Amino acid sequence: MANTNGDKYALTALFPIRGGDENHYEQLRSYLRNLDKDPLGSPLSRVSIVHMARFAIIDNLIYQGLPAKRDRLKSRYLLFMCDFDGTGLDPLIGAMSSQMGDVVDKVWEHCVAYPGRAKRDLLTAYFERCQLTTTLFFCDQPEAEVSKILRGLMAKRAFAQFVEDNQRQPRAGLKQRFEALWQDLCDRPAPKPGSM
Amino acid sequence: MLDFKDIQGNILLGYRSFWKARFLYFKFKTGPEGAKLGRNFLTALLDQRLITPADWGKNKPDAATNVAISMAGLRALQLNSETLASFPGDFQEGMRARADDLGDIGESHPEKWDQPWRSNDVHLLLMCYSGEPNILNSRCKDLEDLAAGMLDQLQPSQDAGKLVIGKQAVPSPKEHFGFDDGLSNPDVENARDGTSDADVGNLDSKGNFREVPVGEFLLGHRGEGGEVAPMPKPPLLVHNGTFLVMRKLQQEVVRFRQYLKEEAERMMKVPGCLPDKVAGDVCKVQEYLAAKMMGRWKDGSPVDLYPDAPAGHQTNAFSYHGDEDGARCPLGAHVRRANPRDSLGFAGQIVNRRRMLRRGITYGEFLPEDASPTSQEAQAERGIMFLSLNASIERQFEFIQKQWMNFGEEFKQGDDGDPITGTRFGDGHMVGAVGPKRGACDAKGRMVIQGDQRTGRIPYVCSQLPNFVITKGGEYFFMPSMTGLVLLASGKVSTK
Repeated sequence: MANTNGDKYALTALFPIRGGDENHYEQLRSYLRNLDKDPLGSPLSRVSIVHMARFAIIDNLIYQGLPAKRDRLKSRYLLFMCDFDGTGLDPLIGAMSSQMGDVVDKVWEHCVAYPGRAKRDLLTAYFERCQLTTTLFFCDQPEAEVSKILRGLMAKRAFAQFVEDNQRQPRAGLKQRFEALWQDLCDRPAPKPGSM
Repeated sequence: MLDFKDIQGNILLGYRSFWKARFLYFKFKTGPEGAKLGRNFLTALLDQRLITPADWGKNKPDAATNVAISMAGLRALQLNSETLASFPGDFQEGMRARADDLGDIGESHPEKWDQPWRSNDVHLLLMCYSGEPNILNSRCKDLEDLAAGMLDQLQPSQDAGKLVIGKQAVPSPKEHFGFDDGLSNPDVENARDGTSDADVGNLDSKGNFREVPVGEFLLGHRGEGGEVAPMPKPPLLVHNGTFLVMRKLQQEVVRFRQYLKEEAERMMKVPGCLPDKVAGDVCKVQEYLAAKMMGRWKDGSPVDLYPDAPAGHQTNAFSYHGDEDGARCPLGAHVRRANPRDSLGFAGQIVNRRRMLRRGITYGEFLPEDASPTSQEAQAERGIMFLSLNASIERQFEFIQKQWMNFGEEFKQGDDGDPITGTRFGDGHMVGAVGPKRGACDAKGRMVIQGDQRTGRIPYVCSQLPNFVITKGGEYFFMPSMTGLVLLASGKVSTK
């Protein structure tokens, strides 16, 4: 089914970049280029339902066959691709607005007809209007939500440490120690996105 | 048929009997005049027949010299910009710029490298070899005299040579940790008798070994994919040339031996993790642990064929078929990472394009087994001058270093890196594929010795592995053919 695979939703969207004298294109490119300077990584890595995301700017399309042909676009476009936990765009809009709202503004304020974040339904409708159908996308774990993957990584590391710590301990009490680990893992909150 | 008179020596054919080496480093002088002097020097090397080709002719020389040039060197020779731009990005950037990717951080950070590697000043590398120390000295002096006034020599030069252990009359094939080295170079197509009987190539779809196409190691020839790898321009400059990765790798022998001693004692406290023949003898446990980390016993016999004891059988003709769970050779062992053979499935096709020719040679004195860890000789520097030759630095050397040495996912080892050469940083964390900056990788220096269900031996986790190998310098070089050298010396490199 288009746009979905298991519990994942894939968004591909093209947002026209504003023209005029305000250099929106240069400003946007410059802003995107510096997004990874944050020592914690991309702000998208902190959005709790996002698996993978990518920005690109499309400023020209050239057909490279013979004869080569330059397609004139009506504007430059921001390409945004993202796969996340959900069955529609609304959860993504909600998560991005609340968890990286300032970044959303700084990116999409350079795009034509950005409605702002004040009304979530308007923003969702805006993304839907710019959306393309995604028919095939990379999805490493279709059934696992981000939080489950993070929890799995945490459990894997804790278990490896447990084995290391317990291999020289007497067998007596091993079951109890493992149960304590298990309980501890159940009680711990899932790690924060981007922290693993 | 390959033209061995055109290909520099020590690429396809190793210098087995030349057991002493010295590496001389030079910087070209600046400006057009410096470039001209540089070309004059290359001309003099060629006129005096000082550069040794792979084909020695009728008489074996008593010394050999080979030459390689860095990107900074090619720029200093003032090659035309189109030629310079046509070299691959890995070579253009050089090793220092790619330190993060290579895991050269912490103790291995370029700021802590030895001279002359603290800048990008090494333009020209002369590699001198001989079986006679006096002849080597004489050859190096001739070269230094020749270069005087034309190039700036950078200090210190690097002496290297096979180890002399104890009272042995013959130089040893061992490296400083005590393992026989250089056993698994690939057998190269059309390289005549250049490789030893122990060398094997890549696995074919039927599990048989076949020679590796020469294009994996020499530019302008057909490679594993059936194609000629993208070449810098013009072809005359680069055909029959190759890229050389040189790294000065310091080996922490005291640390390694101390770790084996302590971890062996810890292992002996875990019932069932050692084979019965090994369990009661601390020396055997140390030997067993070292072999499981390396994937070969110190005598060179493969752990995959001889999982419990050395056999004195230095064969290279083995695969990991039937040992998918690492019961014989641990999944994270050094040699299984460096050349996974058929470990990764697809009849070895994932591995076939990641092979290198290694021509490394040790430096420093061998530390006797009974030496005190606090003695002066224990503190002396020792290690290996790692030399590898490949048609693509990024596809071959860098991939192996980044994905297979410093990360473990491909081998189902998570974040665990290579137990011998992997980079651990800070509080013992591995670099991991996410890179050191993000701090996202919290695995410790750890290695799992998988258990063996057939014998009932249980798995054992080696923990708190420190860095045993520290990078102290290095660079990417281009090794031209003899024809390429003549062209460089002529100053007429042109893409027109």
